[in-house]
Amino acid sequence: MRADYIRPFVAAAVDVLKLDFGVDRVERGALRVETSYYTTQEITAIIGLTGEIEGTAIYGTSRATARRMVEAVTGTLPPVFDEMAESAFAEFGNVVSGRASTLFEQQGVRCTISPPTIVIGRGAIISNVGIRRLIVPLHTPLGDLQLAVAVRGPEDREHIQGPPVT
Amino acid sequence: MARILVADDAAFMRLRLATLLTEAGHTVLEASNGQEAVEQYKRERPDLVLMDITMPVMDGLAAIEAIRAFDPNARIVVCSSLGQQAIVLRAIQSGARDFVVKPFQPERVLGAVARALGN
Repeated sequence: MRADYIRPFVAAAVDVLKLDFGVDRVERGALRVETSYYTTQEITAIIGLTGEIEGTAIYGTSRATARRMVEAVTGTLPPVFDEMAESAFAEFGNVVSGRASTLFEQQGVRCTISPPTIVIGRGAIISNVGIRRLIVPLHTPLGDLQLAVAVRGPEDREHIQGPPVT
Repeated sequence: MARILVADDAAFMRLRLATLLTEAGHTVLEASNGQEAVEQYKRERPDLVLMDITMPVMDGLAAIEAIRAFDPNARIVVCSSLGQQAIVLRAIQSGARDFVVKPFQPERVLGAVARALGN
C-alpha cells in the first residue's frame, strides 16, 4: 500500500473537524504501520471503500472524545456515552471517508464508500485480508482520534495478479 | 417559513440540520432512510426534502426517483459526503435542485434551501 493513500483522509479529517465540530487546531502525530487485527480504541468506526481503491478506513477514539464531539455541536455534553455520541463519531468517519473519496477523484482515482459500522470496546478482531494499516493519530482540543487506512490501489492489484499471461 | 423533511441515517446529522433549520424558522420532519423519506413525503407533503445519499434500506438516489415519480414538482436538495461528479450528476438528473457536500458551512445549507424554495 502506498503511504500517500492516507493523505486525503488526514486532509479530510482536518476539514471535517473544522467545519462540523469547530476545531481549528489539529496536531498530527507520527505515521506508523500496524499489522494487528485488534481494535485498540474504545469506539471504532469502520467504513468500506470500493472502486479503484478498495479496503477499509478505521477511525478510533474514546467515549469521552465522542461525547465532547456532541458538545461541540449542541453545546450540551451528554452525561454518558449514548446513541447521539455514537452517531456523531460514526458520522465523523462517514463524512471524512466521503470527503477523502472526493479528494481521490480529483487525483483521478475513483472510489465510493459504505455506510459506517461501529464497534464498541477494545479487542475486537478486524481483518484487512493481509493489507497493512497505516495509522495517524490526531490530537485535538476535543481529545485524541486515530485514523487507520488499509487500502489497496491499482498498482497493488497488478502486483498481486502478476504479469499478463501470453 | 417551510416544512422541511430531513432524510439522513445519522441521528447526529438529523439533529444538526434540524437545529439549523428550526433556528432559521422552518418546521422539520425527519426520516432515517430513503424508504421512510418516501413514505413521509407521500403522507406529509413537505415543501422541501433535504436528502442524504448513503443510507440503509433505500439510498437517497433511489428515494429521489421514487419521490419525483410520485410528485414531479417535489423540491429536493441533496446533502451528502459523496461529492464525486458522477453522483452529483445523477442526483441532479434525478431531479435534485441542489447538492450540498458535507462537511458544510451552515450558510451553504440555508442558501440552498432558500433557493430551492424560491425565496
